[in-house]
Amino acid sequence: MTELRYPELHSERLRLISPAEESFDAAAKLAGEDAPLFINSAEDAHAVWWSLATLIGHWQLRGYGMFVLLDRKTDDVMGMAGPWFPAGWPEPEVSYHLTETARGRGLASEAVQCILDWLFFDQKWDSVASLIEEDNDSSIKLAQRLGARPEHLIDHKMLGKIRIWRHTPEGVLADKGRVQ
Amino acid sequence: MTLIPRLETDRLILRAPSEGDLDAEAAFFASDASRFVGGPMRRDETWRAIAMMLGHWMIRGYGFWGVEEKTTGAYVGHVGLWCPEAWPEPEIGWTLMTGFTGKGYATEAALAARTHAYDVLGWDTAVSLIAPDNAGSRKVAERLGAAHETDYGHPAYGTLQVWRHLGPADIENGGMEAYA
Repeated sequence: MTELRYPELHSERLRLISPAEESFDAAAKLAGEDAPLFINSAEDAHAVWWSLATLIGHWQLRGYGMFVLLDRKTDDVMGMAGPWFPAGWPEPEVSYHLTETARGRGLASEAVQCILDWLFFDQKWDSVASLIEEDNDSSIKLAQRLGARPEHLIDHKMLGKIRIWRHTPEGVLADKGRVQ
Repeated sequence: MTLIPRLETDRLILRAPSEGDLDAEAAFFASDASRFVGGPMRRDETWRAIAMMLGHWMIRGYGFWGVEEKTTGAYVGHVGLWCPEAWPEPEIGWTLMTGFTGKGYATEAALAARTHAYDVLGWDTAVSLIAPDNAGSRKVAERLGAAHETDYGHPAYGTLQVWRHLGPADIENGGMEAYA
C-alpha cells in the first residue's frame, strides 16, 4: 500500500497545493467545465485531462512537481508553478504558468520565490534551473529579480534552443537583501 | 490518500506502476508491437505515460497495475481498469511486453482486475476497447467471456471495438465455468 502526502506552501496572497493531494479535487478545479485553460495549450478536454494526470503522476514519481496556485481569499486557481523534471529534461526546472486574469500582479514572482525558499531552505537543494527562451523578456526579468544567473544555451529536442538560468540559495538571499 | 492495492494471482503480482518499469515499457513502446495501444512513443513520452497512469489512479481511484511474474520478478506489462477523459465508459485493459504474450498472463491479470472492479469498486459492467486488427487482444477478450458489442470512434485512436464483459450476475451464475 502506498501512502501519499504532499507539502502545502503559503505566500502573502497564494496557497500552493499539490494537485496530487487527496483533499484537492484537481480534476474539478483544473479539467472541469469552468477550469481555466492553461495546463495544455490545446483546447481539448481529452488532452487537458491527460496533462493533469501526468502532472499528478510527476509528484508521485519524483516527490515534487508543479503546485496549483490558489488565491488565499477566494480559492480561485491563479496558475501553476513548481519544480518539473520529466524524463528527457536536462535537470529539474522551476517553471510557472498563470491564468489570463492572474497576470500583471506580481503573482508569478511571489509563487516562484515561495517555491525557491521551500526548495533551498526546506528541501536543501543546492540549485535549480529555469529554462527560458532568449526572447522571453518577462521570464528573464523575473529570473534576474529572483537572483538567477544566465548559463549556457542548450538545444532541447522538445523545447528548441533555450538558455539555462541558475537559481541558487545565495541568489535568493541576495535578492532578499539578507546577504552581507 | 489513494492506496494502490497489491493483488496476487497464481503466477502474477499486480502492484503500483513505478519508474523502474520505464526500461521495459520504453523498449516495448519503441517497437511496432505498441501500434495497437497508442505507440510507438519515445522514452520521454513513455515516462509521461507512466506518470499519467499514476495520476489516473489519483483522479479515478483505480487504474493500471504494473504486473510482475511471481517466480522471476520480471516486468510483464500493465493491466487494469482505465477510464481517462474521452473513454466511452470504464474498461479493463491489458498491454503485455514482447516476450510475455502467449502464456495466458493477460487473461489471468485481467480476471484479477475484473474481480477488483466488481467486488471492491462495485462496478456492474465493464468493457474492453480493442483495435480492430489486434487479434491477440481479441482472443484474450474471448477467453474472458466478453462479446463484441459495438464500435467506438475515439478522437485520437480512431475506430475501436467495444467488447462487453460478463457482468457480476453472469459470473455468479456460472459464467466463469462456462468460459473457462
